[in-house]
Amino acid sequence: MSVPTTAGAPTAQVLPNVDLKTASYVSSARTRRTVEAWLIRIILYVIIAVMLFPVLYVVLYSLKGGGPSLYSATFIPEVLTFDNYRRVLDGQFPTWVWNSLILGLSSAIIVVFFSTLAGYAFSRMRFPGRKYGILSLLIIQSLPTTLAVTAYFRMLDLVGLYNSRIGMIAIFGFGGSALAVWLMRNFMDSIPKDLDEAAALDGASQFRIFWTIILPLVQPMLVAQFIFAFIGTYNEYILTSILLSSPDKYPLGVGVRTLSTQFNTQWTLFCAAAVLGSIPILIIFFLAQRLLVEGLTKGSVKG
Amino acid sequence: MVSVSAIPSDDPRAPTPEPTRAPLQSKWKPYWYIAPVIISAVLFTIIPFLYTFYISFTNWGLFNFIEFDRVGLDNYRYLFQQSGEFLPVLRFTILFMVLTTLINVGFGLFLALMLNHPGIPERNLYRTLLIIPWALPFILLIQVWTGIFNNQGPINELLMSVGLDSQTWIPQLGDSLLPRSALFFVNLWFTYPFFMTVGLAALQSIPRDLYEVADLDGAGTWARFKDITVPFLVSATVPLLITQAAFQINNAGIIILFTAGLPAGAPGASWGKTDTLASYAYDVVFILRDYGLGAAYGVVTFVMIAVLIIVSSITTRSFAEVD
Repeated sequence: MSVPTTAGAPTAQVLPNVDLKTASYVSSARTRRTVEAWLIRIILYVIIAVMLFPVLYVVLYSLKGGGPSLYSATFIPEVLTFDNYRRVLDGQFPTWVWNSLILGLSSAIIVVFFSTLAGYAFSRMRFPGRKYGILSLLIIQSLPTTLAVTAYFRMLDLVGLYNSRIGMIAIFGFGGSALAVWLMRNFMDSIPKDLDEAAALDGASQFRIFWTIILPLVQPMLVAQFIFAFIGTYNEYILTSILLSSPDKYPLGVGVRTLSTQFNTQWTLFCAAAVLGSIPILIIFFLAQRLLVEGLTKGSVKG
Repeated sequence: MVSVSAIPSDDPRAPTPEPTRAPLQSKWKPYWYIAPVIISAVLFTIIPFLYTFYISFTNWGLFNFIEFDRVGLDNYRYLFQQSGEFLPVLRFTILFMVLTTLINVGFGLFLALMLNHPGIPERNLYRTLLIIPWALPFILLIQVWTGIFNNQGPINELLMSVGLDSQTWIPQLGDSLLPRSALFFVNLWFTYPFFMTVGLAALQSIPRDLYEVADLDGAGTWARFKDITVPFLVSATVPLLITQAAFQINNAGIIILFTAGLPAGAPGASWGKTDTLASYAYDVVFILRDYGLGAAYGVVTFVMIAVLIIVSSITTRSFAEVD
């Protein structure tokens, strides 16, 4: 990518009346740029083909017909059918989707609500403990919660919430806010303080400032946090697989795994379920892509 | 977006008295705002962890399930001194953390640099295609990857169709090169789009004038790359390296679901050559059912992460608070 510039480039800038030379410099630079661009394109085509292979694979397999066990059959299906989709939708799949929706939406609401409040305090207020508050929250968040699963089991069992969706919502919603606080705080820091100060001069209370000035301005971050929290819960496996024991309470990830590990016989069914379960997330992601990317980069890259 | 001028304000530069900085703030008010997060962190993270810490000093497990005793440092003594698995698992944890972070960030930035080339006006198309792995749910796609690397999966089909031998990608026993490579590759697949996106955003935030000035100074392509592009990319990604490394220490899910730690470290061993401390702790808890020892592994893992975050946040000052 970094082919050295053709000799004479600097002189072309300095010497006057060297039209011919300048022209040849420009055109050679242009040729070099075109060659580079095509090299890059070829590399990118290969990478894209490799990276999108799983997508092609899972879609093709989900359409395979002619029997349940096609693990080792040819790659391109001979018969295309929507049979797998029909069977998946007739099974427990809709229940799993429903469970994932409940878990994801509830914990996302909790995370967004809590992190906005705390992010506001960390961004706009000065109080003892603030300085190390966020760092401590981040360290606490980095605690391997999967390793505390025996403790969660004990706790939930104690209050009678083992194998319940409420227990899982509590763990994901209440336990997952620290990183969100940090991202929210960074985002709020990027909002000029003049706004609050002007409102304060007009006699607005702290909560009013938060509610009417800050909240509307952090809307992109609210949406981003909501989607992150939702997708995070959607993708969780370890805790849900252990703290939920009855299949009718399984979220999608855990439920679908029963298809992918049962003697390999349900592989085409699994692929259909994977496609169906991926589409909503894919759509949400691309609809909110700008917000997500902005939220993450603005929140996590300081300055 | 509301612009600053939309709010009535005479002159923002006018000397206003200091107290407006924290308007109408009573001493306890800030704590009301952070109370929900603090209380839930205490209830759902700190207490479970303290309890885990406590369990690590007991012999709670399958054989002492109803009643268990405090056994002091026995679990830690066993872990550090007697067990043959701690060192190899720790070694792979460090290898996994360092390599995945470097590979994932490096590849993402490499893609960003290619996409940012001025001769590629259709970069948004490629970016959209390359971002797809990020947009797909991990929990489903990791299971797709286990199918792809299955003995009868498409990779072996492809190998055989071009006349090569099929491989056992995740063997029960044996050499760790193939399973580890596969694990690193799948890990990369899930993570590179984020770093590609961040890298591209950083590259596009570099002011064009800088390059023009460099051109006038006669700087070559390499000098421009070294003195302008690289510093910008580095300042954008260093804080992310830390969070990525911490994330990867914790990233037991991908190992449990993809390799399950295999191949085994020795015939009949409970640990595997792709086990990290976090994934092995899961095995200790759910397969060996030794909750005390599993908790000890959890504690050790947590200490590693906490040290990593504290040391790196002090040295890079990326989480430093300004008052």
